[in-house]
Amino acid sequence: MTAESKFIMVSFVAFFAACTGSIDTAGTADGDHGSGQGGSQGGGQGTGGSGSVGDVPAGACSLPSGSIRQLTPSQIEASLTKLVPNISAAELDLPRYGRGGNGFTNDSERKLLSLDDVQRLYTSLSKVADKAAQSPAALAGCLTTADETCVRGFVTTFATRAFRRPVTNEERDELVAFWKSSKAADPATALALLLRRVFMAPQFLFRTELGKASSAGVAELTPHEKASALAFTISNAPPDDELIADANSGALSDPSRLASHAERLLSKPETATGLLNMFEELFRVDGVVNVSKDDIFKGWSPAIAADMASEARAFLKELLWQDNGTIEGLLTAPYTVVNGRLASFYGLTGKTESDTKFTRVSVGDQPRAGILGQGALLSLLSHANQNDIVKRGRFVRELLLCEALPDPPASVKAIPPPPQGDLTLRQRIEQHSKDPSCLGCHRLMDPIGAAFEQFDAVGRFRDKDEGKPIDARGEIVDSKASDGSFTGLKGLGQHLAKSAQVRACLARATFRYTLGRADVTEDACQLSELDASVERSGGNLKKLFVQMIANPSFSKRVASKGEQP
Amino acid sequence: MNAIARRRFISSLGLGVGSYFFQPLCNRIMAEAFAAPTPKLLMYITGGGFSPGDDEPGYWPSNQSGLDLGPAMTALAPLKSKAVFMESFFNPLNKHLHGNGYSTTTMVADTGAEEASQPAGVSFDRQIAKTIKGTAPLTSLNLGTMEADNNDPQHTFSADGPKALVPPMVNPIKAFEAVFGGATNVSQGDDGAAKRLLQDKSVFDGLVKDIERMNKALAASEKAKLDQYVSSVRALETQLGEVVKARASCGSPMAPSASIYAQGRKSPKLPVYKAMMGIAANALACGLTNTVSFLASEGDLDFMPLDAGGGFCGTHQMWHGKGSRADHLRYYNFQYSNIAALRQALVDLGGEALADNTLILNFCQTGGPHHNGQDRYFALFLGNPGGRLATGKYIQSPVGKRSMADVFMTAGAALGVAMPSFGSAELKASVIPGVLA
Repeated sequence: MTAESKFIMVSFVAFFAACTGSIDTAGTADGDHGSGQGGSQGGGQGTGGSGSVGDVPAGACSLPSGSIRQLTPSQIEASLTKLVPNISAAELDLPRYGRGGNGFTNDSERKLLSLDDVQRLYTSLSKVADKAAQSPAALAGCLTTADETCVRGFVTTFATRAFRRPVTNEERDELVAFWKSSKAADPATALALLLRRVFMAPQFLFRTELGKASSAGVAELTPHEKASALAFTISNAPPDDELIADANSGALSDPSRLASHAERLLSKPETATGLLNMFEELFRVDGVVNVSKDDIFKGWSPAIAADMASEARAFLKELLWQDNGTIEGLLTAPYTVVNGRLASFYGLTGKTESDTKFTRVSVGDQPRAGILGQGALLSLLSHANQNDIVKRGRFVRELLLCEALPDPPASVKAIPPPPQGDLTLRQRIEQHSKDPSCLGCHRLMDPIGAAFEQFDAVGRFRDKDEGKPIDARGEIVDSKASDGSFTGLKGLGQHLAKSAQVRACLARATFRYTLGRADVTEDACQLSELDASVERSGGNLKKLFVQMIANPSFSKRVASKGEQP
Repeated sequence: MNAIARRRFISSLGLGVGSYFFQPLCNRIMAEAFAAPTPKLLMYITGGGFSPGDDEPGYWPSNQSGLDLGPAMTALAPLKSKAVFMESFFNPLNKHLHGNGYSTTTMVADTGAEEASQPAGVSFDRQIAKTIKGTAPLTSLNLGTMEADNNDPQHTFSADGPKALVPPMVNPIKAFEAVFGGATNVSQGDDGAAKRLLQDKSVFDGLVKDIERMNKALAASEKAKLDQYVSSVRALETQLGEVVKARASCGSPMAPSASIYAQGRKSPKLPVYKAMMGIAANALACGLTNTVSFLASEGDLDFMPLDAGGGFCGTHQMWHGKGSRADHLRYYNFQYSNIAALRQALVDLGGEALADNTLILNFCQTGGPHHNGQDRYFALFLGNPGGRLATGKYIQSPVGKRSMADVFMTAGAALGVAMPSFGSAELKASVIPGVLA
């Protein structure tokens, strides 16, 4: 044994020790699983994180504490394009963040405004402000006169839209005074500075979920906070006019009105960008565009990688708006949505409209199953030169079963065993994982990943590996409630689709995405209510969001001593 | 006034032995002018490793007949007396298919599996940057040529500590704006810049009021988010002031043309390399920063004629052994001629003194072959801040004896930065004998 392999062996012992106990789904994952960038792991749904949950009256489920949430770059872009005419997202250069402890990029537990971030933000938003100030009439007709009454009216309207709630008198007076103080420069500069101030204001860059005390210990989100929470969750954008109107009238206090807005926004893809975004991030759709493959994979190219990302997005839209949009469909759909180029790459025989246009196509005889059988995920969960059984199994274990696995020791070579004679990858991995120090964790991942073996590292169907028939038998062992055997991706998809654990896991992902934080032990009661409603709705993905909106953790907070800003 | 401008100022005064009456003033100015200038670091990281077969004698420097640079580094031949060429260093941490991940520059094992890894330590450039920042407004400038992949390890090598990545700017237009334009644009002249600075300050003052008002409603954990915002706003205000002062002492370089940049890996990268190098050299010469990290990684280099079939650019094909020896040498010399050009740009902007005072540290993200190359890193030092290096040398360390942590320790010593250690304690990093004068 070389010194290096001894080192690896010692490291595996530590890994083994971490996997021999039962996997704690309500315990200690630190929320760091979401930190992977473009990789397969990350975003594990084990309970954890530091999200705060407050005390509530005895007998009730715990409620979250009030929080403020920084808008994500795409939410800032969506907000600016609504506020300022002729601004495109491409002109902005906002800081981008990876996934946080909740497994998504909208994690609100992080502090994201470092000096570098603020510098980029200020540079970018100043540019937008300066450009907008060059055409004052496009913002408000009277602004060309630089008249104070006009500016007062403009501030009231503009800041109300920017802050997504009525601007207070104090805020309005201060903004007008600020404009007056810089008016000496020139009207365009004064207007530009005013806009900069609004765009950089915490009321614009953050949204509050603090609420107003409505009963003992409970604070109901204000109508405008609810409107923002709903819009940013479902549409990934600020509230539209209909939501704002109902917030202004107080109609959003009625839960059924909130639910009907949720259904309205979820009814078409254009207003449900947030829903799509959640599934795209959960299934790492964008990761594939930066994946590099070795040239043993003929036909692989950046264009094919981009097609794969588009395929996953188009499939989600098809599933959610043309199909019945269930968890079962997500994991077992016998169709995909491809263009001619990708269909040809996959070897699909279904008819496509053109090389570039995406069309729904049956997967035919290929054992593909919903989103798990698409190139975006299969390529991402592979090495550059071969499949990665471990990574594929880990993805299912963490992201679909919500079972946290420890990271391998840092010193372990994350490189698959090299080809040995004519052994298949599965045989090599099995041989390698026989080592008792490896077995503890690998038995939880490898038999799941083996079910993906009918697809190569670029998502193409194959029936042989190293000249031998593929053995795609798979098994889930030692799970909370999903143990069982299956064969191939189709079998795995069908097995997972029947699992209440998978449904609960997707409900948990929705909870984490909506609240912008990892769930904590005290959330168990609210999560259990959400799980029950998912079961009742037959695993419908859009209804899952509606039920999340109806969950008390969406609209209620623990009352705090602070005051509503 | 930065050191270069001070020297030019003194030179323009024509002070000499006859300037008796100006002695007190002269003493002060001369003391400032001849105080040891703050050293500068330009870390130039290349990508991909060696193509199979290129890692053979005859390609690379050796001492067979004096200091022979070999055909892969001919671009550096005129500068070899100012450089130290070193190999072969290892990195035992995070042995990935492509290099070592973030531990390439932190020398501390990353946390997490290959694609989901996070840095666990501070990278060499950021550690040095904080020490040699001096009065420069920007701690460091991080530039790259390739799209970041949500902080993909292969395209981001700078980190401030565990999970604290510092991604490079890859769009030269945006990078130029951030460094030489942006919110406080000095192209209007000093008066304009000062005026705009005051305007920025008024925005920041207003923001601080807004933040404080919002903070009243928050619990302690939430207040921390806004507290960070306030301190960053205040730090930005200070930084903008310093940038204005620094820019006042040198001209703004010409802005890169908007047409040179297109997003995506397959977009042409040669103009991007050129623009980024201009930004780097000018930022160092202007005293806007004392540290630049430039990730000159894979890109679609249109002089590489290799078939890109199978994925990505010609360079990637080369790393898998495709193409002729001439093709490979063209690529290697492209990178080394960039390094030579960077040094020349520093000479042009600030004279030999600036170039000598800047340590260009070059290494590749992969230490040996493209796949599983972790044991044969090559390192180049060009420049000699404070005259601490014994340049004009080729030093070969036996494979497996010294780690890249030793290279970073030695680079730190060359910059005059006392570093008791660097990276993981297990590596026992030490200065490489024979490199320092």
